Amino acid sequence: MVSLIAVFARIIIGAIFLISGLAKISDPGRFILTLREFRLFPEVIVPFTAIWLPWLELLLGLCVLVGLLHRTSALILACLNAGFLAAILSVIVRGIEVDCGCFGMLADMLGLPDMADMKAVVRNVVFIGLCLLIFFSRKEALSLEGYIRQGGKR
Amino acid sequence: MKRILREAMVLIALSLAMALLFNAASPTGIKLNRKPLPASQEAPVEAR
Repeated sequence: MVSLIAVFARIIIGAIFLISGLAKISDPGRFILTLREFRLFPEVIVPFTAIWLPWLELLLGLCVLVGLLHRTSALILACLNAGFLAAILSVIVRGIEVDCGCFGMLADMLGLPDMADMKAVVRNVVFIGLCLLIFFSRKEALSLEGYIRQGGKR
Repeated sequence: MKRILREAMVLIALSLAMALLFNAASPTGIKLNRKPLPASQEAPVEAR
């Protein structure tokens, strides 16, 4: 049962971060603007963060989805989400109305709400919970890592 | 713990390499290390 929940969590988290990374990579200019609107980072590191963060999300999402280094990937994603959560809480506290930029251009295409508000906070808390569930679940069901460990005998 | 740290470093380095390579190869890539223009060469505000 636990292994089934962990696999389900892996599929959800992996797909979300894979898609969100791809959406941000396809429109880096927009992500730079979003980062500037948060007024958290010094201008020098904004372009670098805008280039690197989507690729980190893409790679970690892919690793969680296929089950390769998925526990470490889930732990990094939990830390990343904690950072996003802190950033969103800071704009809420400062009273800045800003697009959260979580899903890049995909939010516009699908008409999804993408504001940095309490809904985004709840969503991030759920994501952190799922990531920690993946990290603490030691089962390797339906994972590439488990398949490799067993020498491809499955 | 040591293994997790090692794997995390590999993932972070790999994502960084992918990001920088893709950014350098992409025609819409963001230019890093761009020095700010001196005030005299900046475009007028209405032209930005």
